[in-house]
Amino acid sequence: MKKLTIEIVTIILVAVTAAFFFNLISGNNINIFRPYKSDLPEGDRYEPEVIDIEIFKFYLGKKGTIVLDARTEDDFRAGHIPGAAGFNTRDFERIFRERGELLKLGKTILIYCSGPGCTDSSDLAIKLHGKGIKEIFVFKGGIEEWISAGDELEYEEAD
Amino acid sequence: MNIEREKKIFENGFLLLICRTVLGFVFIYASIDKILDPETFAQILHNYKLLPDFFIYPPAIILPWVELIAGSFLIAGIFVRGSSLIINLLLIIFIHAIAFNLLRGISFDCGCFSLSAGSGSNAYLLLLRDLLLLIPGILIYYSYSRNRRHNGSKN
Repeated sequence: MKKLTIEIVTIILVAVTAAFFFNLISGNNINIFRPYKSDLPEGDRYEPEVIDIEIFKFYLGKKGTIVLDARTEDDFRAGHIPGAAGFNTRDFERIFRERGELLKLGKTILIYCSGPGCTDSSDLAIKLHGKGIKEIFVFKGGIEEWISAGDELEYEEAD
Repeated sequence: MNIEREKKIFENGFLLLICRTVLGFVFIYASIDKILDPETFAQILHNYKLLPDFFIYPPAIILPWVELIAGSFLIAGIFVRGSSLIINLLLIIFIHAIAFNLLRGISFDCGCFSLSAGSGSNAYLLLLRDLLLLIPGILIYYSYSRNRRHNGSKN
């Protein structure tokens, strides 16, 4: 038991030392003693409206609808819902600077990501709402439900 | 289980080597993304809604290194009991966190093996994967503990 305790303590000490050292020398330099602060808009109680696949398809064909894929560029390229534009929620500020004005022209914004377990579509909806975009719907079923329904994906470069 | 069959499993050096190598590489692979992007991992930990905000960054920075070091030691055959015990504990924590959030109906990105938004979204598959990984983990820990006792080592 004593030897096992020494092994565990050694592994943890090595890991903690390496973690602190890497945090210093890498570009991250995170202050680990500060509380976590989400980059979502402060005090925002907006809850995006969630829609199912039928309503999603209804809006899909309508004029003025913009569909956003909240996943990373690699995931977008690997297959996305036809007509969707890639909008990696983790690179929000940069992409919004480039395309925010276009989004404001859309009548309806539909957002999806990989499936029910993914929070990126909701996060993107909240961030866009914080920038003044109103008509936003989140298709929670995402790519998973789209594929399960037998619908095809499109493959092309991310915008 | 009779003694001969027990020996075949728990004293099978080749089987244990395979288990250590596979489990070690899985955890090393799992740690890389999280080490390189701790902010995103912190966001994922926050999304689990299990930890208070003041205790998000310490595990976000330290946990991936624990996975990397334990996985490396496991492959190298150093401190095998300690490494396997830590890995088994981590798996148990992940299983409980995923199951708890499934019960609460909270959607989340696991962040187990990749920080990509497109990965690991089916929580039931994640649960199954972690349960399957526990099998070699427990085998390794039990075998090395058993063999140590049989060799008459002192604690």
